[in-house]
Amino acid sequence: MKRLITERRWKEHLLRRQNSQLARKNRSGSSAYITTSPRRKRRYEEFRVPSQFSIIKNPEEMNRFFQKLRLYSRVSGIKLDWQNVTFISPEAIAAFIATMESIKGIEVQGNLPYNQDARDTLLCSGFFEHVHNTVPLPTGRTGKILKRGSKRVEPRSALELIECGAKQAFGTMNRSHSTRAAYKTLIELMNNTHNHAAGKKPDTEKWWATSFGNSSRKIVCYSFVDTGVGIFRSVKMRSLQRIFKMIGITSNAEIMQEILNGRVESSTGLAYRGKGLPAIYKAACNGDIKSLYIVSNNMFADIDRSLFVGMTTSFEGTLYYWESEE
Amino acid sequence: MTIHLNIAKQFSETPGPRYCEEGEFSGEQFRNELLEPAFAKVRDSTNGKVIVDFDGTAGYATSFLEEAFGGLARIYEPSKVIKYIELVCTEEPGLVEEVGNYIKNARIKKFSR
Repeated sequence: MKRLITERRWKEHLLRRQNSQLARKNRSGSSAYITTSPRRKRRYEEFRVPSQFSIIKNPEEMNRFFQKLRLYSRVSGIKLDWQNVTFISPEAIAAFIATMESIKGIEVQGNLPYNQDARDTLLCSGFFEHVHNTVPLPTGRTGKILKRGSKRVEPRSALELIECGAKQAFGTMNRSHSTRAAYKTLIELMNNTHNHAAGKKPDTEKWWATSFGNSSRKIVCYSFVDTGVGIFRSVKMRSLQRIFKMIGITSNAEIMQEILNGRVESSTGLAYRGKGLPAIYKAACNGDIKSLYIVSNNMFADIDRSLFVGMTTSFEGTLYYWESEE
Repeated sequence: MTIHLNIAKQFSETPGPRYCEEGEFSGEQFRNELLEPAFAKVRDSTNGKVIVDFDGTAGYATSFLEEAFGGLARIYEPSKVIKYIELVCTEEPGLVEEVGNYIKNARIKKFSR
């Protein structure tokens, strides 16, 4: 038999139920109320940024920095101390932006480097578009680093990066072997990220590319980063590593040389696929692109010096850096 | 019958990836929209030729070229593609040989080290 209750008692019942639901939510920590509460202040973990903020010059320390950033950003905000930074390179900025974008809900605070060149590079890097600024920032003296990001292959973005970099470095954009090689490299890398970087995940990984025209050195610096699984943690590569071991190729640095020389089958298994990285390597060997560096997982490659080495730390994803002359 | 195809003017100055799903101006799109229809017209005529001009673009990824020309050779015979298609490139002369290799090797299934 149904019990009839008064309107006042029904309201009291609803209020009690809402209160207990709210208390339960707060206890489990899943409520947005907790994080947005004005009484609760977020704790900030302070980090000293490596004084050589460059992956190609200081890879091990940078990898450790990114690992710490990923780890602590889960539990606290990040306070970055840039004051003692003396050198910042464009590919480190690209990797930093890609890392920050890959960590959802990261909160970053920080200061600026004392060193004027490093300060200018940071101000022009586009880094501050990814953080909340409480005070107006001064403008840098160097040219702006143009950055683009997507999950697809974006031919127009590739051309935009080349044109912007060339205009900064040379004052004009003329198509040449160098610009065509840079274009080819960007498209190949976007393709690789689209097809391989996500690993087992159904979604595709996002890439970030930057170009920076250095007018004093008369070169354009390009960086390309994704924070995917990296070359050596892809599904196909794991099985290939076992086969390579049998023929005496044990390290990722050696496998990288095999890939660049076109001696590794594409992950699709099709003979006509997998020509992207060998083509980039050929462009570097021919001198169409200069100073090519590849960093992926625990492998570091400086192509100009034919240096392929293993690292004790790991880069989460893949990074390419190269330069183009006029 | 001769058909001239200028990729920069008739397709795009910024050729893109291999497949349409990967991004715009793909090799697959070029093959479907321009190359294959032109090839189909000339192969029915005597002394037919498609002249493909590569100049004027920002550059080419290997996957674009392979899918467009190697892809055509996987549909038709590589020898027929070589017979009816002429490649022209003054900006990057090595490109003609590269595309020729994609056509010749289009049907090789097994990877060899």
